Amino acid sequence: MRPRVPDFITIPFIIIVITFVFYVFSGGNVSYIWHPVSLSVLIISLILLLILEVLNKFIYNQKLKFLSQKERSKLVEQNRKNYFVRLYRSGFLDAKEEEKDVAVIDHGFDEILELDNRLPSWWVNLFYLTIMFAVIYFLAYTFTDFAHPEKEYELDYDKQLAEIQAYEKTRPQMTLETARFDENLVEEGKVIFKESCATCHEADGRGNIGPNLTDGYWINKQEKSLFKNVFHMAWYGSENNPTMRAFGASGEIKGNDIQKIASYVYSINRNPKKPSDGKAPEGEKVTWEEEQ
Amino acid sequence: MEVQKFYYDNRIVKAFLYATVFWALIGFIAGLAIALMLFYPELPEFFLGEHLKDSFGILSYGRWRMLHTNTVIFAFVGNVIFTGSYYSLQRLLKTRMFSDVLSWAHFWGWQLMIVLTWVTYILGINTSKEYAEHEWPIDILIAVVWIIYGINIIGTLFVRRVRHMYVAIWFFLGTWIAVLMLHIFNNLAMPIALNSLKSYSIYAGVQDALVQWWYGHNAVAFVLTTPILGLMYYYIPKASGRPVFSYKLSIIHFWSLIFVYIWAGPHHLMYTSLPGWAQMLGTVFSIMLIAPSWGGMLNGLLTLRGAWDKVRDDPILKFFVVAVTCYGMATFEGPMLATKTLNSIGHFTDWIIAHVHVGTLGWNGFMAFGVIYWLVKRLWNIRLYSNALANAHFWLGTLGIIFYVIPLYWGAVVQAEMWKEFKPDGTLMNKNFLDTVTAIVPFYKMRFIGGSLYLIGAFIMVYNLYRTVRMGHFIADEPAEVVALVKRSKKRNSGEKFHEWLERKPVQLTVLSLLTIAVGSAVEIIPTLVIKSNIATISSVKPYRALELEGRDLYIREGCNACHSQMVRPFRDEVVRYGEYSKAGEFVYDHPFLWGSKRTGPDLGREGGKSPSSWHFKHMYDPRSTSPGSIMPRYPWLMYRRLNTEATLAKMRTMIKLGVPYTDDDIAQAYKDIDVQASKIITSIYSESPDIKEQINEQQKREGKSFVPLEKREIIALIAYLQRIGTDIKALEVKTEQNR
Repeated sequence: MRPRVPDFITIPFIIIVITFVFYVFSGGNVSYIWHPVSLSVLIISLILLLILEVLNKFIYNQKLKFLSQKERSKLVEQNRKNYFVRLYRSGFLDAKEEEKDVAVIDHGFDEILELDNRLPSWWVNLFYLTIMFAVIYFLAYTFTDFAHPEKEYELDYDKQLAEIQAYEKTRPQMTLETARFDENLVEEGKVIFKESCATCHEADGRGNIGPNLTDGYWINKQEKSLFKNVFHMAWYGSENNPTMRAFGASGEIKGNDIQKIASYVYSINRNPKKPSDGKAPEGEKVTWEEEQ
Repeated sequence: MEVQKFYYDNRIVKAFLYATVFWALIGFIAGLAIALMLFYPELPEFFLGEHLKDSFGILSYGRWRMLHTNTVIFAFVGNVIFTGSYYSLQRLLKTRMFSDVLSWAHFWGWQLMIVLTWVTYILGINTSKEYAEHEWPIDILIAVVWIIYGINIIGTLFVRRVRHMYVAIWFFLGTWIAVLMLHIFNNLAMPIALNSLKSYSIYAGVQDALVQWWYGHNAVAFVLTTPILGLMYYYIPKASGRPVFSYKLSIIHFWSLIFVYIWAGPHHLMYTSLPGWAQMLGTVFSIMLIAPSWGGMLNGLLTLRGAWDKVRDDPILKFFVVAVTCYGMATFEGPMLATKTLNSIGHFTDWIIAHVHVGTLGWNGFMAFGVIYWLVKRLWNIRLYSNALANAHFWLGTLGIIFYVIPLYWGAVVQAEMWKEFKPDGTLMNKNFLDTVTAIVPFYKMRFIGGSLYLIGAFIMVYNLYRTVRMGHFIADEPAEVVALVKRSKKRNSGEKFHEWLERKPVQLTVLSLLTIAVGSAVEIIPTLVIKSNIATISSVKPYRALELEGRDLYIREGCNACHSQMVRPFRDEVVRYGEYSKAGEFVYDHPFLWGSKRTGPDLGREGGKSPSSWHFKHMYDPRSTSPGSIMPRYPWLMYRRLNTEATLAKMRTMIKLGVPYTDDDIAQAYKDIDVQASKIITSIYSESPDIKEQINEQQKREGKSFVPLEKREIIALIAYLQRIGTDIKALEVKTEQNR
């Protein structure tokens, strides 16, 4: 017989398994654990486990009676020690003491001997625990939406959409009609421009694959004033070039950010100091109306 | 009773030992080179200067990554397995190896394979399938050499003078049969011609991915784990003089390990387009793998209990203790990474690289070093030249591992956070992928220091070995004698337990191992191959046009998939960053699949149409000209080399045989179609960037007759492919977004 695994280890383990079952069958939603039904199940399980533990102890003690005096006193002695101290000592200190009674197997393997030690009980229990995990996980996947990537994505999507809507109620996004040039947004606009537009226009707007944004020539003229025209292009994209796509309309960049970008572009275009190696002008010379 | 005298063959052990040490250094240096390129991408130019454009990419990151992984796996660890098993098998079975001829055929065949690997990979000849990048003739060579090794083992078992097989031998046998199965099934490919090295995987898309990671995962299991456990079971008891902790544990953990391991492959494909049930199996079997793996660790560590005083003095035992501990850590971390939560953070980041290196640097490397030191003492019958140097090697190696993995874990978490971070308005905090790369470059630098320490340790080992060998006297044929084995019934004797019987039946044990690993393989792979509903068809997905197909082969040649995934996972941040998440039906014509396993650069699964062609052109010529701070290698040779289209039709015909619906018309029109598509790309490049046009015109004037028109060059094919990726379902995507 083996020394007993103390109840302060077995009971929490089983409670963890039960909690895990709730977790997976509720679709990975932690808040269900605080539901009255699951809480009462947990409490009832705990009481049952405590009763079971008392019964087990009784059976264990009955079994002890069948052992010889020597074995019995050894087990009683081992059970008295702290479980973790016992584990530590058997790993590091008591080896030779423990191995005294263990059979040694010698098959003539180049002088290598094998001990016939039992499997460590914590290892066996760990194995059972993982198998239990696997069975529960398997059933939850098979019979619920748990661990279905697409389903998880739908939930995330709806959740985020609701969050964004709530956020935008407090802070509405700018549109082509409402957006205005704002000197205070230029610095923020510069950062977003660098992230989203510099691939083609370069960070200072001097142009590379895309046209120079600091000169007076424009390929696309959709609005009467400069600021609105930039906003328009970033929102709807260019009809002439698919890579200048509809950043705003597709939701890739939000209205407030486009306002910042347009403010930045407006400021560099109006700045008399131009980048030295700007791209040659493309499109037509445009005289813009004053911003409203 | 008859006493038989014979000689152990130490020459073959010595040969494999030298090969191990040689390839270890080469593999480590290759690893350090690519680690350096991750923060100093100008390394190839440092060596080649202006000639980079004529170099054909022989120093390119994508090719050196696969050189590193293949050299350390098959050349370093492979050779140490052979070293260790050829020594221990003879002693455990009390006989010389079955055939010296086979031993040497094995040795030279394997080294030839490694040299051919180097030649082909450096020239860009590879299949893109990780750790199986060898093209088909080398695959055949590997299979032949591996079968030679198997015949040699089984032959030795038949002439053995010890009745039972020790647990180390079970592991060698299990390894042998599993690797044979994995290697053959993963490398099934159709060459485009018998005189061509080029071949295409017979599997496509999701199926190819599943088979590849069934292989890739179990290459870790059956090349980097089970044979090393075999070594552990021989060398730890020998070096410590202690009995193995538990015979029973060795039985249970051997069978459970090989049974469970094979199932866990799909955890490499979590949140991809692989069917959900297969992902689920990957997760649950990974969790169940903890205990079987730890069984091995326990049997190693508990064998050493009672010998801890020896560990303090003996550097060899120190190597073993750290090795087994690293094994325990890595085999706990692996299952944790297979859970949804950690996988969604760790996958595609350097976390995985760190995880793997705990296993390889710690477990494989340190086991190998311990075995090498121990064997040198035995083979040359002498003490080590310097225990102090061996200790120095141990501490440098340990420090190296720590400096290697901790920065990478840290950087990975930083980067994953940056990828996932949203602003409250639903846009990404870090729109530019590059910002999430430059943020972790400091960690790459620290990792390089860790790798350097580890390499310095290895050099110290080489010096120590050299001096030891010089001091000692090599025993080529070691005499031994033993009492001859008495014949016993083939059937189970009365009172003989089943496993005891199995331990004296090598063929039965091998067959039973094969059955054990075949179960998980069959359950996961066969349904994915045959059941149609696993991969929903999408009608808008069409085969690649001829030029795109050629471009795709260039993508494979340059090893782009080493850093770029093509798999948008169903996460909010990825859908916002890259576009609609990838669907299984999009990959039905992808022979092989190119999903990648690491995102050093951004995902390319929806790259088509995102950036202008002229941007790709400039970016590929010098990524830092368009994206300052980028760590991508330069590919200038693509701008100059003429695209070889000689094999285009053969490639398309091979694809037809593999089930890609090219029509006769497609093939008849292929060359015309290439010209049409190329000239369209040229038009857009020239209109977007007149400066490129000027440069090309100048080049034409300068080169005269030898001038290759831009539309005939490799870069155009690559751009054609890049502009195609993921575009087949873009129309679909817009519609569904509006429907919501």
